[in-house]
Amino acid sequence: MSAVELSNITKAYGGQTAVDDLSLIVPEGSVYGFIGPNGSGKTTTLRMIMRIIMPDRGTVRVMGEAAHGPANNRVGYLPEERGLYKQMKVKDVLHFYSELKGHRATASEIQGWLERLELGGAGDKKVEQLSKGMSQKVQFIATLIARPKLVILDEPFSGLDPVNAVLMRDQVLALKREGITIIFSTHDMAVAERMCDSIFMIYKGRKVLDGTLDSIQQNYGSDIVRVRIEGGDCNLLAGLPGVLKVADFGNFQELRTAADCDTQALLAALLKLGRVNHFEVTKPGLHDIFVRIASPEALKGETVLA
Amino acid sequence: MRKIFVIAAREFKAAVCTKAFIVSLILLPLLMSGGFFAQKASKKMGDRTTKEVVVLDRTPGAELFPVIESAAKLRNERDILDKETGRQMKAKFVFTRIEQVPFSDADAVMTQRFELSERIRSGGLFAVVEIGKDVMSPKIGASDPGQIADDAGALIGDSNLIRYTSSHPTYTELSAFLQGCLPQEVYARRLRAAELPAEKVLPLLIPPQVVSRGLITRDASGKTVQEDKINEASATLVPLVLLLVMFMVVIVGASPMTMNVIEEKQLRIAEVLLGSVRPFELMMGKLLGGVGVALTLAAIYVGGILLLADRFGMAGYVSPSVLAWFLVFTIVATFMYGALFIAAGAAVTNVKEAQSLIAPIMIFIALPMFVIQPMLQNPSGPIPMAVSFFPLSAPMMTIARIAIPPGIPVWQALLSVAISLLATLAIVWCAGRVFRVGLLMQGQAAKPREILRWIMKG
Repeated sequence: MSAVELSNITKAYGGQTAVDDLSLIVPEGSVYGFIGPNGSGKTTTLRMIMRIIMPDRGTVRVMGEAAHGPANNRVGYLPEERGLYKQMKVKDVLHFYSELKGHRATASEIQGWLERLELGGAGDKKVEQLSKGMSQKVQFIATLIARPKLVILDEPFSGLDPVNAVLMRDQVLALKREGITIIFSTHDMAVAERMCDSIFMIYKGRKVLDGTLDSIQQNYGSDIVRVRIEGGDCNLLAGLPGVLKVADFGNFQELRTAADCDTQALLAALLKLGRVNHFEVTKPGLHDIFVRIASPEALKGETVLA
Repeated sequence: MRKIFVIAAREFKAAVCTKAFIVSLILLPLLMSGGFFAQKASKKMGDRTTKEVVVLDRTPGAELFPVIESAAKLRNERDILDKETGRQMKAKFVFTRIEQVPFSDADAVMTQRFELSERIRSGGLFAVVEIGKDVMSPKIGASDPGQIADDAGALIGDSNLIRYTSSHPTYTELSAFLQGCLPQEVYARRLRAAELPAEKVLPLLIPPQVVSRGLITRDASGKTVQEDKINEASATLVPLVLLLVMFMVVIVGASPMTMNVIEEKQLRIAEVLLGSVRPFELMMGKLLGGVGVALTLAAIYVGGILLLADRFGMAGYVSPSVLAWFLVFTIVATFMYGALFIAAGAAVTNVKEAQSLIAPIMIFIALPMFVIQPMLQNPSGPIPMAVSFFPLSAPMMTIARIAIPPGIPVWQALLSVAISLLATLAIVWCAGRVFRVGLLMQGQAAKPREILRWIMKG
């Protein structure tokens, strides 16, 4: 059974279509990355999975259920911005959120969670006394306190310092090992590449990418050549045959090549420019693909690969 | 269903722990008892500065001044001291008679009055008492220089009266003292002058007064007994106090909901909540929490008032059925106004915008206060009736009408409950829709037309 199944869902606000005829299957136990530019319909889709809003058309099935029901208790949701009562004590907030999901967390359970996220002494503090990173971790615990089978994380790592980011990432990976389905949205393509089994990209309310990282990269072919040349003038790279675009990263350059580009001929041409220290034919990264779909040039009419 | 109670419990705890709740817990009793204690305190810490009074006695032979003087002496030696401690509690009155100018010289009379007035203004003198020349043998149609044609003067003539002039019109003790010591003596002297037997005539002067007494009932043994007199003060006080208590209770129980909803919107708590419970459950939880707060407060207030009433032997003035109705209407009112306050919070995005929606709700809550006067005169008059059947003001108006003896027919109370309940259902339903749509809205406040669209289309 799939954890989440969206069939042809559409949602419009006023006259604006936020999500347009979207279908998606998230298998149980997978880690699914939701990517897409701001305002593309990510949060709307997540909210429909949470049943906070209803689609105008189409169905949303969560663990087989087509409407708000017991399955909702088994879904944990971490909103992008914090959602904690400022005046409440940390442990009271956690207890409250666990009860909302029909699970009465015991005091030792809550303390255990706090310690696991290095918040052992924060239980009696009021939420308003916490630092940003601390309250984000509390929110994270609130998401997991009722032992969900499906966890939805909206930008879970944004605003965390590197130590806490690693701490949180380890927790997410621990969830994965327990077989919990995880959906998270992120702007950080590196995180998505490293952690997700599958990637789903939404753009202007429509699905533009869906599949494993491998299958997506397959679709885009091996059209990236990463080079490092000594003594060469980078400005000359763009003029080489078969090169569509040059991205200069300083220490190396990435060339996007045409589909029919002969990489051996390209290497030969490069050798004439200078000493080639590095030459690698590779697949485009997720970041690259994202930019190709959502860049202003893509907007101008380049056909988008679905 | 359980989740409703989880939310209600949190709302209740959050509300009861706020400063606003604790302040309101103390505030109303303070306001109500404040007057009582102020009065007691003022007796203890009364004005003890000696009052110098000048008397112009125009009666033939200045025969009334000695009467005043001896009464004042008695008072200064005996009445102004605390019986137990012997401490002085009140001001001494010292009367001095001065020679008056002849009454026939109007200019001189007015000049003398002016000079004495100046002495009062400068603070050297507290009051001037001028005993009219005809006090001992009043003359119909008599008049006096500078007489103001007020009711008493126009009819009787100032020269038949005792003028009391002071720059402290609210200090009534001095004039009350004169009113207390003079009439008996004046009557007695007038009768003596007319050679009438005082013991026969004085009883004839007892004024025919109107007094109220209770109804007559039969007790268990069949004897007719008089019910406790319906105390006019309590008949007025009970509905007012109930109205005030319900007003406070609703304000404390229901009005913070607007702020709560705004907070939940701003902090994105709403998203997390709606991910766990249905909007209807969330709203019902909030309303139940609010009702819990209102009932807690009502129990404390009413309990305290009953305890006080019991101590002063006035417990009988509030019947159990009135209290039962009070309970019913408190619950209905909190639900109804609470739903309005929640909808207001859902429709806006910040506190400032909320003000414009809260104001009209407050007017409805306060509406019964504006019709207190006609209600006390005639609880079944057209205006109180209309207000008590108007959905948004029914609960409070009806409880006030019930509390005024003889109360209202049961059908009217029930009709009012039915109207309130129907209105509450409609409001909860509409507010639920505004809540569901508005709770996730960020940025701009919804326009009235938009809110209407949410209600119509959901």
